[in-house]
Amino acid sequence: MSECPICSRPSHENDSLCQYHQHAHKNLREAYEVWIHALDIDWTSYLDHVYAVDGLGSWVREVIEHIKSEDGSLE
Amino acid sequence: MVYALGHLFELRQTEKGWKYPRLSTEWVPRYEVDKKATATKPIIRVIKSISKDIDHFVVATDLDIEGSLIGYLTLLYACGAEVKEAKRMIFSTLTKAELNAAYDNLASGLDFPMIEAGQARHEVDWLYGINLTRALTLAIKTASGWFKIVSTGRVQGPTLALVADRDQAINVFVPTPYWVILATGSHNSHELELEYSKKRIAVKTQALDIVQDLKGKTAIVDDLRSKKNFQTPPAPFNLSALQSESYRHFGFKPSRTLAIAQKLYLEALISYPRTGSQKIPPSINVREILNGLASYRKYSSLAKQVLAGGSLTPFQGKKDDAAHPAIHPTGTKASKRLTPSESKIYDLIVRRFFALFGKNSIKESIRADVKYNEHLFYLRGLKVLKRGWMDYYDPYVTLNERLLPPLSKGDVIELEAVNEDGRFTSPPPRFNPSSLLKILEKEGLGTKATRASIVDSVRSRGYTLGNRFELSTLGYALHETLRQYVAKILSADFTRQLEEEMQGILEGRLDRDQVLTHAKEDLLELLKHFQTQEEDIGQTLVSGLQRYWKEKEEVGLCPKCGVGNLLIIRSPKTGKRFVGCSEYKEGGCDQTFPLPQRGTIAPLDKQCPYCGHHMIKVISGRRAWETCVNWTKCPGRQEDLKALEKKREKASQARQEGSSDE
Repeated sequence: MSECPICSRPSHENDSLCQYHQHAHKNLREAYEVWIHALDIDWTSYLDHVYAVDGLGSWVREVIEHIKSEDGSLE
Repeated sequence: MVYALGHLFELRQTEKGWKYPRLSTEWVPRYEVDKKATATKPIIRVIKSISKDIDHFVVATDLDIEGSLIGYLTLLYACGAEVKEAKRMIFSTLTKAELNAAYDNLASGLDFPMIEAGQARHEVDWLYGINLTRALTLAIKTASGWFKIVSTGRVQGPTLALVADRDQAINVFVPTPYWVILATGSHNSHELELEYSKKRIAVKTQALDIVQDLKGKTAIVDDLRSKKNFQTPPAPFNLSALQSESYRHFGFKPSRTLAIAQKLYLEALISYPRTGSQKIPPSINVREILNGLASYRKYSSLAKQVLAGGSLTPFQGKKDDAAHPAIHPTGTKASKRLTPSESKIYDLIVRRFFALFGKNSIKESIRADVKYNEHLFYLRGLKVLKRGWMDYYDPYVTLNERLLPPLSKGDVIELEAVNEDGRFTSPPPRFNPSSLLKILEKEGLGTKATRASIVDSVRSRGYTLGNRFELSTLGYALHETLRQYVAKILSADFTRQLEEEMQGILEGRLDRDQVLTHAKEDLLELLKHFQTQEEDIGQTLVSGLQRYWKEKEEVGLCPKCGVGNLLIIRSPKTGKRFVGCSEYKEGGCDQTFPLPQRGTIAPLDKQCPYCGHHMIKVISGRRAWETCVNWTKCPGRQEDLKALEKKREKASQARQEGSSDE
């Protein structure tokens, strides 16, 4: 079993993230559709905007940091 | 006459060894099981010695499951009495009059269904609590050799699951944007706040178009509606309503409210607090209570007002409890001065009691539809026409009155300011002690007497951080493990089913042995399944614990040596905690930082914006704040420190003045 690169929890073989960060990532993707509809925004700006919003879940925040980091290979 | 001091007897396993499964138990003096319960030993001795030449026994413990069980076990094991011949005193307040009446009208026998239900609850809770806690603890020992007690239980498991589910929903929440239209208008020099009919606009350009359409325009009152609402008084207090109202007004945790209410009950100032009832039965002499309250200077005028009102029929709620009425004052004068917290709870109970005799309040709600082309606004007003019971329940009434100027159909409203306001959706709120208690009640988990302590135990065992019920890494480790390997123990349905079976014993539908046999079968199945996976369970818990300890203690890389880690350390000499470098012994790094000594400290994965040092979160009581480890020297925090010093000086001055007055 491999490890989640964000929190070191066990992760499924086909996916690099643990169940929690995987869920956070799925929500981040789904919410992007709402943001595009609302603001006609590109993915990178979306990540910047949503990162600054109060109420963003801490696991989603970690996923964004991971995506933005050099080794973030989710996209 | 002797007192008991809570439970004098506890369950103990009959077979030896700190192992599982252990299914057979016996009742033994509490001091034999709980080393801290030394105070029970002399009481049991006294009870035994005075029981020798007794003709008949009367049990006068609280009339509920625990009280009845305490009385029964004391009779059986301390008095050596024939329990079937004992009599029972039944009362709901500790006033002299009621105690005399209860003694004159003794119930012919003990309440055996209640005793059986109480025994079953203790036995089932013991079976699940002891066996599952041992299973988890021994799994850790097998996997790592450590002895770290990790506990769970029949109600604690589903409570943990509720907190974990909410925590996860918050952690994976992604806010999405929406816009609201904020508009103000004027009519005959009155400024009006208008509410746009569409509450949320999902697209920014649409919100901007609406603003563009409406700026500087004149709208017309298209329709006017008013409605009168009659509001009955609030129902008499049962325990959960008192706990919820006390949290709302004073911020008291449910367990604190219960402890205060218990003190007031023992002082004979209020009726028995562990009740589910929202009814004041006709057998309670409300006139006498009101007369008693009239002798208090504080309540004299309100009590006299109620007494002058004629019919003294209190408003009744829906819920009933066969054993005790709703919580109410007795009208008896306090024999000693109440503490500020006791005064608050007593005041709440007294004013709620007065409110029961008040007339319905009448509120008028008005809605004006204001139109400009296809755009519709609402103007809402709320006016209290008749306060009724609210006069008695002040200051605990929230009115939210909004007065509108006189308006008629066709009136013109000038739209003065129209703007769009960008907002974001919010995550679900975290539980607080009161909301968690409410959901436990809704889910049928625990009893009115145990819920408050269950809420406290989730926190005291380190599964959550502070009163905000944020799940700790330890909480996650336990929840993950239980969900993966013994999901049944997290299931509210499973616990609810057991609660229903125990209710069945209370109602005489089920037999205690039947329920216990069933509970043991279920438990054995769970434990068998557990044993086959003990190694894996242990590993999962160990890695969770390692993450927990690491997160709890490790602050980050040492800024001085760049090699060691800054750790939260407690000095063995002074007992005070501070931050120190892990390279102190080997590398000689003497970097240290002071820490606040009160509250819980959680290292944060971020740096101070002013000085670049590691940040920490301090959670103390209901307050939580973030600061850096360098807080005493950080240039960005000097103002806060000065303010804190001033506050301390002021407090110490006030204390000195207070002591010199005395």
